[in-house]
Amino acid sequence: MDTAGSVSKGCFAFKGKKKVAKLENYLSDDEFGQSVVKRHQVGQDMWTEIDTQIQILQEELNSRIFDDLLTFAADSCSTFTLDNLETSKTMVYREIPTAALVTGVNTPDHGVMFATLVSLLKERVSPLVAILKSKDCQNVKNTISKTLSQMVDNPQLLHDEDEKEEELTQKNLPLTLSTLAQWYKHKFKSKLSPKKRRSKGDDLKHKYPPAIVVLQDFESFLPHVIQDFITIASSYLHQLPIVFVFGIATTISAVHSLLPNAVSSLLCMEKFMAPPSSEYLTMLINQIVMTPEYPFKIGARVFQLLLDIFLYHDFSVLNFVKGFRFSLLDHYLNMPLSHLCCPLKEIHKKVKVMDAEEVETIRQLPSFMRFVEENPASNQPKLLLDEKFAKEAIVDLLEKMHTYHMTLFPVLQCLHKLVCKLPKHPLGKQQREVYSLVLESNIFETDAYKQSMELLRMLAKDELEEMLKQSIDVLMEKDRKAITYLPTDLSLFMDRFNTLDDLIGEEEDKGAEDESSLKVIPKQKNMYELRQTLKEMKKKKKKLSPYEKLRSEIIDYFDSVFRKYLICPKNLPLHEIFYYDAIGTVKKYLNASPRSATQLALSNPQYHLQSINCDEEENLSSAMPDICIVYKLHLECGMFINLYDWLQAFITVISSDAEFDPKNPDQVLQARFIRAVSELQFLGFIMPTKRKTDHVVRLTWGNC
Amino acid sequence: MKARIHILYADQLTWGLSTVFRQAVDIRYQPLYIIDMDSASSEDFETIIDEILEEIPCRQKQISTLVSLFGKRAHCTPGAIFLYGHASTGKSLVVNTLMDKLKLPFVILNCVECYSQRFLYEHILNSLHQTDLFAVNESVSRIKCENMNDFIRLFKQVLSQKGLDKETVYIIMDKAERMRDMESNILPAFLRLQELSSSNVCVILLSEIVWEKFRWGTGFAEPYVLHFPEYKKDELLQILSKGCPTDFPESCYVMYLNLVLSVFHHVCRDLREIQHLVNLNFMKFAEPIRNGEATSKDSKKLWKNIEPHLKKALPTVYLREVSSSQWQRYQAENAGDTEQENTSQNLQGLSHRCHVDLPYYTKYLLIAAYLASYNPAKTDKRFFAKHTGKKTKKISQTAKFRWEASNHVLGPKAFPLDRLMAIFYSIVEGKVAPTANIFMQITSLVSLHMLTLDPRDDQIITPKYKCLVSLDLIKSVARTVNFDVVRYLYDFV
Ligand SMILES: Nc1ncnc2c1ncn2[C@@H]1O[C@H](COP(=O)(O)OP(=O)(O)OP(=O)(O)O)[C@@H](O)[C@H]1O
Ligand SMILES: [Mg+2]
Repeated sequence: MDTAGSVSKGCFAFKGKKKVAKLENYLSDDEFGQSVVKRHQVGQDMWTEIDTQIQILQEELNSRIFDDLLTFAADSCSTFTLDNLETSKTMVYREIPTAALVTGVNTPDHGVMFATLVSLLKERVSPLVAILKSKDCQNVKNTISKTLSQMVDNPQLLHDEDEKEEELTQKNLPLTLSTLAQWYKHKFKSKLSPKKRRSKGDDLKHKYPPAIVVLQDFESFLPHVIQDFITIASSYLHQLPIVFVFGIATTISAVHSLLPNAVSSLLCMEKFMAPPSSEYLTMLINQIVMTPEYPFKIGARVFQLLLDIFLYHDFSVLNFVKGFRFSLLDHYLNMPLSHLCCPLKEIHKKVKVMDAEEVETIRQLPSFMRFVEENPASNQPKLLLDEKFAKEAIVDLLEKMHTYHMTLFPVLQCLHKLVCKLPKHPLGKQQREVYSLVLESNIFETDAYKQSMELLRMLAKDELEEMLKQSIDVLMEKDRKAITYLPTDLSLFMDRFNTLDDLIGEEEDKGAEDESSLKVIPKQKNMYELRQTLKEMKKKKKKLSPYEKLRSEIIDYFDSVFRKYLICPKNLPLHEIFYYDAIGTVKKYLNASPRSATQLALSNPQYHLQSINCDEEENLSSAMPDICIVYKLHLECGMFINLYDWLQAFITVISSDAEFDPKNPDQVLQARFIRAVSELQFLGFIMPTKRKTDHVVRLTWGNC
Repeated sequence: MKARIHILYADQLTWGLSTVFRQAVDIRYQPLYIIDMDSASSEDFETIIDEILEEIPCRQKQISTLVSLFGKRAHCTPGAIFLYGHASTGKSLVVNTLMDKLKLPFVILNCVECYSQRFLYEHILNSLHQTDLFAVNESVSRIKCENMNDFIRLFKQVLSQKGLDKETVYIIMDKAERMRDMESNILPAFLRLQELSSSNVCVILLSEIVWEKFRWGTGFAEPYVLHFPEYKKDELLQILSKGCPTDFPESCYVMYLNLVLSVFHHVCRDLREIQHLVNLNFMKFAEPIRNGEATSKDSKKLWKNIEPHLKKALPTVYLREVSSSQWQRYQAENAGDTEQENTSQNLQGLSHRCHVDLPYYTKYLLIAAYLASYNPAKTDKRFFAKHTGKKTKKISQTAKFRWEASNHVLGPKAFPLDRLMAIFYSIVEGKVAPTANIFMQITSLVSLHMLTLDPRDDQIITPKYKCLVSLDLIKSVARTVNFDVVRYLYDFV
């Protein structure tokens, strides 16, 4: 018997030993390696700090979402009892309480979300929680066994005296809900005896904790499985207080497309909405990215890319965090001076131990060179030659950077508060949009900024007052000592608002005057004159009203503040140390396009193989690898490719005309051709077909 | 009534007594306490039947038929009884109540649960045997049974062990239509269980479909067939009126039921559903009375109060998207502001169903998939080729008429991945790199059940997809990106 065939088809998985990646294994012993180790530590510390902050944020957010859900789960079964002997088993029971949790389409985040949900449920509601995923539940039996095993093998329930529990799994029980129901009865009804009761269940609200079944990806369950499961569960409702939680990614109507009326009428659903992930992202950006706490910052282009991936591709906060983390690691790996990107209090120490070489690297930084040039001529040589002087300057600059961050964000928030409600949102609706503009260039030089200032100069009184109030609130928030004079100045304006009312009286007469001049308008002959008059009238009006005077004063004040604080970081010296903006790398890793990479490699082999020197891209030459030639030839074909013609073309390219003998092609060439073709098939560009003999089908067109 | 209580064993029993009361099987096993009531028995039996009839109105015929079929405890009943009728016509209710009140020995089992025949056998045997899996003394072990042969042997064994071989034992199979999907010997064997096991057993099958649909193959013993007809409107009223809260005037409650039925009866006759609706809206109905704004006689005022709410609930019949407590909360929230608009808006929010937020490119992918599913492939050129001028009127009206709406009537067609991507690139704004993220979104759309992978073709080399979303949803998605999807749909051009 020929066994080779079966062997070649077998696929055996061996679990290898888990290797723990160590930093040392990846780094060479040379100087570069040494310096990476140094930066690695700083980066790790930074990340740990940020990560804990993210965790805290997530927990806060989740507990807020789930609060209602948890109360629902706890309350829905509070009337359940097994003690009541009169309740016969035939008594008609209600529907199964079901929480439909609409989670949003960001499936990558759901894993974390449900893990938190389950742990919260276990902590606060009931130890009996089972989480089911569609991939584990291909039939009813699996579904039930998953439920059973998660509920029965619960370490939280095992801690007390009787070891019977451990035997339970070994007893080879039938996998049915009736087993579970009996187990439940045995477990919790026995608590009737007061002796046992005290030993456990102190943390449980009810004597009979609900059995909660969480279906994480409800849409993906097979309809007949989930229908049967619900039907079965409902028939045990009198013995087992079951509660369902459906995780629905799209809309609630998914329930109805999966469950017929007969099944859905067994449920009593309550809908819960998780807030959209964009809200979570906003929160995250506010607390992680737009904060002076962490000196590491991502630059304009990377920030925009990460945002784009979020908004255009997946809505996944988890991926955003991953992208952020990647940027951080890459920054600390590749930026030689990034160990200076550290908390404020460590700067002195770090700069002190810098060696001459590092100082020299700093001097090479474009932003530092610009700084040198801006310095008075007397200082320039000192900066470039005197190490001590340079170090002092560096410390100074680094500290300035920190102060810059400290002032940037409150002022930024203030600007956002002012512009977010303007018509047409010239600076965007979200604070991150304003921030992104600041990162890119000096925001006060952009047209959008000027436009918004124009709009602000037309605000009504109550609107402006409201905004002023908000700005003061923003600036007064928690520990923002950096710019204490701002809120005081703004409060002064506020006071003047209040005295403004006295002046209103005078206004009235002037309003009348205006009207009289308005009547003049129709007499104007042409458009130009009309416009002129209108402009003049505007000016006149501006001069007239005290409110308008105050308004323009306020806006001017704001404008000067923004010009002072909202400088683009790119214009600051040493910004390279703090800002990571290697968009190419990030794109390559986070938003890769494998197809384009393959196509580039095939059509342009010299991109990877420097040894080949063919100048023009399009040209075929025999110097190229076979697969590239075959690939280029196939681009010219239609849907079906005749192998023989293809081979001929291949041979023509490879061999010079003199050797060519179409009657008797070289065997080696044929073999090379076949190998190239199968490589192409392996890459998914072609496929054999039964429709035409000696042909293959092309599978790709253009970019897709 | 004076009753003597003996502790008896199976062989000592005198089974001539017709109305011996004993505990139902599912209660923990104890020695049989038989209540011996020679004289009072038959009257007692009558009162119990009356009680049942009282409890379950509108089912006199079915109940009396069943009672006479059951006969006295030791009487031989038909081997199989088949009860059928629409959902919530009281099949389970009648059977369960009879078993319960007459205290007959029975096993009930839901055929949905029986994913293997083993479960079926073992469930019946163990319930009869009252095995306690978690008993403290583990002397009793679970009965194991693999096939029909063993089942019949063990069944007899258990009956005699438990002293049940002198009276009729009932096996109730709910959702019996599922038995047709099990091994082909099971249904015939259960229909003949009495004969095969030569014991006094009666199998009761409950189903929603008629007996004729069960017949296939051979070896079927015909069961006794009993129909549970649907309730008529006045019967519904009679049944529902039993649910009147004790502190509420009955006549007023009946009026309320009348109102509810008048709104819902033409869309829904399912008793359970109507019961749900009745409970859902009752608080609202009773509110003016509780508040003292109206008396229970004030029928016009009450009607005015409740009608808009009922009308609003009409589109959500059967959906069960809202639990009664949540519904009441919504209504309570709305109680503050009396504006009708506000209420309706809130309810809109409650069931706004067509809205799903997708990432930007995913929206375009979905639209492209929809177009690829519902447009014939040969029209792609017409819609998406960049340089051809508008040739919209090329197809003659008659030719178009033949096609009209047919694509949407026929449902979505499968399309290959490259067609999807081609359409995607021609409709999406700006330059989009074909990154891995884009392709991942296709997979995630599949996992959201908005697309489906066609299982027929090779799923790796030439995957084909179908778009599953509705026109309404795609319209609302397209609106969010300002894309006029209808203009690109062949059916609507
Ligand atoms: N005649 C009746 N009197 C009182 N209540 C009734 C009556 N008929 C039905 N019901 C009520 O309707 C509900 C459904 O009844 P039941 O469970 O018996 O329906 P079914 O026929 O078994 O339906 P299914 O085929 O879906 O199992 C019961 O909870 C019961 O309260
Ligand atoms: Mg039933």
